[in-house]
Amino acid sequence: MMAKDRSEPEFDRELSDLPPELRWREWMRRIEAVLFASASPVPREDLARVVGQGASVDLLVEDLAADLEGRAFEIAQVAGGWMFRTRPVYAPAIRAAADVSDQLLDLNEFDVAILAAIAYHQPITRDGLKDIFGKEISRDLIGRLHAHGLIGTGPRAPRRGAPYTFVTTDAFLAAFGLESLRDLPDPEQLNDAGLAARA
Amino acid sequence: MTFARPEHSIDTDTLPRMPAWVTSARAETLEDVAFLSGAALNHLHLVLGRAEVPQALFRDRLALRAAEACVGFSGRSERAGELRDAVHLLRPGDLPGPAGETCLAWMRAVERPVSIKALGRALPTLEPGQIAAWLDAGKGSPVTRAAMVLEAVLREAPRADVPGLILADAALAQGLGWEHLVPLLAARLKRADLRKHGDDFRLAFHRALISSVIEAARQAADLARRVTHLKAVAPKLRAKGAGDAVEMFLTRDAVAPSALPLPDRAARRLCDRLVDLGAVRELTGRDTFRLYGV
Repeated sequence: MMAKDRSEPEFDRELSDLPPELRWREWMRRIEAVLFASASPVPREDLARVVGQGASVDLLVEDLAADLEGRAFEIAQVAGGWMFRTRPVYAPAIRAAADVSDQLLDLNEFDVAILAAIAYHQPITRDGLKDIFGKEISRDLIGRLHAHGLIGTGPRAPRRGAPYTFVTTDAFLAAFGLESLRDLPDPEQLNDAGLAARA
Repeated sequence: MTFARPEHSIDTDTLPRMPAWVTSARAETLEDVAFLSGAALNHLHLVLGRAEVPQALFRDRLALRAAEACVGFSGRSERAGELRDAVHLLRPGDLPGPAGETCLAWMRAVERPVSIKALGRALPTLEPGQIAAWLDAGKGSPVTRAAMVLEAVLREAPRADVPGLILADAALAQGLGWEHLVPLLAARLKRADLRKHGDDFRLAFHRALISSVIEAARQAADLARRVTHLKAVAPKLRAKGAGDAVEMFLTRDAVAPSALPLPDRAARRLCDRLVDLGAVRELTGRDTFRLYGV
């Protein structure tokens, strides 16, 4: 075997030797490849680097999404980028097939309730959570959410000992398919529907 | 006990006042609001040209006000005090949280002269090409240009009201020949205004600008008066590093004693002394983690 030439040829973004129609399809396929290879949302500027200068990433993604009509997965816009995601109707099938290491599956209901409280009331301290739930929130639970990358530490609370506050992360948005925190259900509407007990 | 009374010692009439025909006018037509917003902006332009106005401090305080408005648009309940806390109690490596993020964006946007790079630092999720394209999305008079920028951003990215408002204020500053962004639009726009289009949008835009500029001019005069007093009492401070500390108060909305270039106890004593002299205020109302500002 011959030694491989280490210097990679310049990556051709423009594809100027292809006719426009084929060029567009090739850009779509590149975006598809990048999204497929990534486990986390890919921001627009990263996708822009694999297509021609001035080519609209949004339009390419739109065309790609249209192509995926009828497939079991789709492109979701999440936390300022895009990612592939299986369509929700196939969740039971995926769960039935395997012991999926979904980052949310090993969280129990109470974990998720705490996570929701952090999402709505961030930045919030462990004491603040205790006030909402009427009981001590264990360091274990906070540690679990932290280990999943769903929460991070925020600004210190201006209180004795300057305790840490907790805030949600971009991974939290991705895990719940939210584009931004604004996609959280409106707390007032939840209240009106009697679904949320506000502290 | 005697307290310094800055009001009597300083001539407040050195700064021109906004004419009453601007402050008390009730304009209903697009033509009238456009005329008044132009008049108000020109007045602010003259006020900002005065050496007595502490420019950086003025912008920092308006940035906080703009951030408060934007946090409100996003359905959150944090007020200015909480935003200040989020920014001043943030340690390296910690996340600012949604409200803190908005506040940092505004504070960074006013820190350096308007440029694509400076705006990119304030809005790190946007690519420079996008910022440049949006900043250039308007034409015509400065206010029309700013309105077109905001419209363009919200049309293409309906949730991007923070970038939209920052870029619109940046376009306004450029149009008026100001070196720095002065946050004026967010404070008086309502959430519903951001969903308006065409003439309704223009009308709301001018109206928000008129009342915001009137308020900003008042605030500039007020800050000019306060810093004149601070500068007047500064020579009385004998602590080492007091000069640098005063310089920080002259440029920032709020300062934590721990951020001052003095040992902790000396920093706290200096803040107490400045409060006694009527030169700065304690802003939080707390006994600990206090923040001070002019």
